[in-house]
Amino acid sequence: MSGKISRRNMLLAARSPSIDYGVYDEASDAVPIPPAHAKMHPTACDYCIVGCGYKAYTWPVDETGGSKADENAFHADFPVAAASGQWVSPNMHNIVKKDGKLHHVVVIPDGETAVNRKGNHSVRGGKIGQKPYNPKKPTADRLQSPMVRVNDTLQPISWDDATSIVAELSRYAIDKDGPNAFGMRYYSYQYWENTYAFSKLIYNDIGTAIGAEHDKPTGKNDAVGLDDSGVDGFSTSYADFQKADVIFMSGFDPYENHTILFTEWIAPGGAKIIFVNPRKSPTAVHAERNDGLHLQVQPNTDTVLNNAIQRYILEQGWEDREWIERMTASRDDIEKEKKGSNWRRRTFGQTFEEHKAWLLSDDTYTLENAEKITWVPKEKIIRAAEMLAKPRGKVRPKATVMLEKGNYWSFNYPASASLSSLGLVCGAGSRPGQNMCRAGGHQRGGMKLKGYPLSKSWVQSVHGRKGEPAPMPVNFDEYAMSGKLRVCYILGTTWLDSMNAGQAIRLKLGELTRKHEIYPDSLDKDAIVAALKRRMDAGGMFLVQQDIYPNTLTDFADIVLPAATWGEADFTRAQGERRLRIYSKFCDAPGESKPDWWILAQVAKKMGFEGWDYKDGNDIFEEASNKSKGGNYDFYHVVQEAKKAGKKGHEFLREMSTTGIQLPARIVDGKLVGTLRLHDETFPEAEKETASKIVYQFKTASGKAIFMKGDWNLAKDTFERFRPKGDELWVSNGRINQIWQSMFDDTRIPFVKQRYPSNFLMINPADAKKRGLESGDLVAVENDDVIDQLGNKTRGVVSLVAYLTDEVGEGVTYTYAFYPGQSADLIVPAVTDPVTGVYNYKIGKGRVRKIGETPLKKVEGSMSFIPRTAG
Amino acid sequence: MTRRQEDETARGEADHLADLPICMRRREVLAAGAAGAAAAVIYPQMAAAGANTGSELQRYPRMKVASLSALRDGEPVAFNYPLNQQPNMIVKLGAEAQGGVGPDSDIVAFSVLCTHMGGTLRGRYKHQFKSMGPCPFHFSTFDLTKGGVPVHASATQNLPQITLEVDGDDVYAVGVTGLIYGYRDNLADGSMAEGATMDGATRRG
Repeated sequence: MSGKISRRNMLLAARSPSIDYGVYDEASDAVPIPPAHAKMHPTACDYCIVGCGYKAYTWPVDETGGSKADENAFHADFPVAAASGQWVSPNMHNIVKKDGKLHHVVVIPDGETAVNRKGNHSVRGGKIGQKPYNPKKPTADRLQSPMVRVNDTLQPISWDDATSIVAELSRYAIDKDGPNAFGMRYYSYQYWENTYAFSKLIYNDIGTAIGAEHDKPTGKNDAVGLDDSGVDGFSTSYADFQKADVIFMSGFDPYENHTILFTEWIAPGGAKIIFVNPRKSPTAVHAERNDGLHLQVQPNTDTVLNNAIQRYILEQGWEDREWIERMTASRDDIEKEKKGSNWRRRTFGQTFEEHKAWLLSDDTYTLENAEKITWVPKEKIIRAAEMLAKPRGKVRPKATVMLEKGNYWSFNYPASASLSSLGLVCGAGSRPGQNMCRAGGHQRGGMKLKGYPLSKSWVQSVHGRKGEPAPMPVNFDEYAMSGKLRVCYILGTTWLDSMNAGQAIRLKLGELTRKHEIYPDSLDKDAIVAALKRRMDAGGMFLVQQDIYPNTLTDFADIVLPAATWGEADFTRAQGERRLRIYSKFCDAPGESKPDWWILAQVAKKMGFEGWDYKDGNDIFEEASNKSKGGNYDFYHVVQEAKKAGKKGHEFLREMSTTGIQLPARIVDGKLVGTLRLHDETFPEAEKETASKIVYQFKTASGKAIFMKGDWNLAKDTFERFRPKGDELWVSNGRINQIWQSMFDDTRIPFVKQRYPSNFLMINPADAKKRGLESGDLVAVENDDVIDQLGNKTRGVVSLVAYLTDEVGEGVTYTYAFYPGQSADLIVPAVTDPVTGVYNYKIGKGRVRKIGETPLKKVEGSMSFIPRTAG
Repeated sequence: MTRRQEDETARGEADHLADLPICMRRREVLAAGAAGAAAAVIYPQMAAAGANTGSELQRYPRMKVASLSALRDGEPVAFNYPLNQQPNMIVKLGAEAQGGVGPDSDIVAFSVLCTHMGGTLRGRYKHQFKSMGPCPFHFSTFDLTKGGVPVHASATQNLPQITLEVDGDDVYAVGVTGLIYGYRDNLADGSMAEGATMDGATRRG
């Protein structure tokens, strides 16, 4: 099959980017500052979970502020002092249209917010001023009009025609083949107004079981083993990290991402860090220099490490017995969990005594065996156990346990379950400084009317209790590739650059869509609909892309719908300590682009669904507040207080500026108050009637936390099958400091591209020497064992620029996960967790060989190859 | 300014530590100070009374900042430019660099104010890597062979590079690429550096 499809696919390669060797950041030596009368729009960063507060100042393009305090909006004399939070970096400034007229905009970190105090910021948020559309900058390629593919070319059409085509074809497919003929992949995070709208359309109105979030093949949870223990991933306040004595960081680097969480909250707090990561990154070096520990784990073996540390703690009797007896579940408690929907708790849930007996009986987790599997020396495992749990006299160390995708994207269930049980053994989960949580990725922008309908899925795990249902969500990619999906709607996510076996998905998708023999050849709406109905009847697919920029998927799409985004409409969501803020509109959306909720409303109405007459985003925000009641993001009272004050919810929230309110929002003594943490055993007794139970209990049937069995046996065979052999190397992947996510903005920001004009392969100098590699060489990375979603053995290939560094040890390389066109996932097999269905994104490996040299090797090349740990 | 003067200035600035956000744990900062390095102190130039004279230069002045014969590999020399309150350093990297001058194209000069939040990078040149940093505030590190590009950093701009020219044995500063921390304009809100002259001044930008 490969020859035929490969030839077809070559025709689709137009958007594969060449490497941006020539990029440079044109430097300015002056920047306009906002005058005293500039309009201030409170907002927060669009990017990572921390959600730093920012202020966007706009003012007419023919004016500028002066250097005296009364001449500028900061009330500051220039030059401003170090750490003043008042300096405008040239990358914070842009020119935008506002109300149709040219304006300056400066988007500057807000020193008055509760998150990034004194105006601290990451490199990603700090240059978010480059995000707004500017026709003189690389953002000029924003999608600005709806388009339809006719005769293999995308042509502009009207919104009316575009939404009619989508609605009519969706209605046709659902009426003919049932709700599962329609599937949507969607972001989980990009604002409540939007996520509420599409959850309403797909899960409530259409009722499909074919849905998946941007980072999963399914529509279900992330850190599932943590959730199952009863702990909400975002249960803490950032100030809690300053009360910890030791923080166990599993599978994330808080400087690469969540930078402000690290530089503003964790590092100054002085907690010792146990940093679990295959890379000796700058954060690992920081941990070691400050009495902490770096556990340089072999990729994908976190489960064994977590369990070995627990086992040693239990052997020494260092567990927090008093807390465990008080706060964790008995066998009767576990049996209260519902059959079906809570099958994992019924299957893998353990009492402390059961958990202890299991761990002590499985020799996988002895120090010696754990060292062999994880590559972490046993002395370090012991040291980690001591730091986490060894009492000093009668005082226990305050241990906080955190995880993120390096953990739960290895073997999703056992890795995250073993981490949560490690936390419970240490008494973490319900007290300041003794917390358990995710570090987080995106912000908490999912506000759903209805979640993924597990009850409609036909997929069952083989690991359930005998005689009881064990439902798993449907794998979207497998379903789409198998040709069963008629309408494939991709909303705001770079599907093809972020899923395992990505090249196999592309090859199959091309057959079903753009290279299908049936295609529209007219701009008449009815003719387009008729042609695409015939394609669907013939087993093909109708592909909708809704996004802000063109990307790989645009080369396949039948319809492209341009979306408005951050800064272009009022939006809301919460960040990593459940802080709800408004993200204010401060500029015009380019061209005809519209907020995602608006587009969906047009489609829904044309499909005949009711309840879609929203005038603005605020209407949805207020409607959603009813649904939020009792949950972790309960903002019902925010909207009620707004109504009492005669204001719209959005306006009421805008008055709370960049600090917002930590949810759940409650009424205490007649006043609106926030909530510092969930599962909080220090929560005031007198306020319990104002709060739902999750605020002071764990999120389980009994309110007690559950030890979840994170069993290496669920992973062992797969690990053995896919680990590197012979001259293969691990090709691990994840984030890097300067880049956010799929680079949808960063690829259009020269300041970022100059640092990383190509995706890189960090490789240890010893491994490089064996292959004759120097920094700046172009290398091929090839994996012959990329099992795709349908079980076929395929080959994944990507070319990268070598970056020699001791950050990675021998046998392990590292690359950026989502570099457009050079995505790490291209060489990762579509291995899914047998309990949760989540991909193992970290199980990449490959053979590495030199295929050329790049100009980056020369001094003129913009990419730096000095170690990131320099100094 | 001599190195000795630089260290004395640094000691005088230690009082400013208390109010500023520092990621390093405090004892690490103190240890760095005790080791004699001026590394962990904050450069307070912007807050100095009278810094803002309201004057504005129209062009970059020309100023001798070093002699080729006096520069030694890996030994930075401090100077202020283009304004008196804007601290920089010139260094012979011993490796070819973007914008490098001298026979080996390895002499470069940069601002020592971190473009993240203005922490001082004085004393943080690492000759082994030809890098500046990590900044004591939030760890930003810059590659001096590649135009001051951030290697691992929270900074949103390259470290401003001073444009150099060589005339015989003399090395002159003649311009700046990038905006110096704290300023809205490299040539505004301060007085021209001592020793600089508008004779032979260059165009902006």
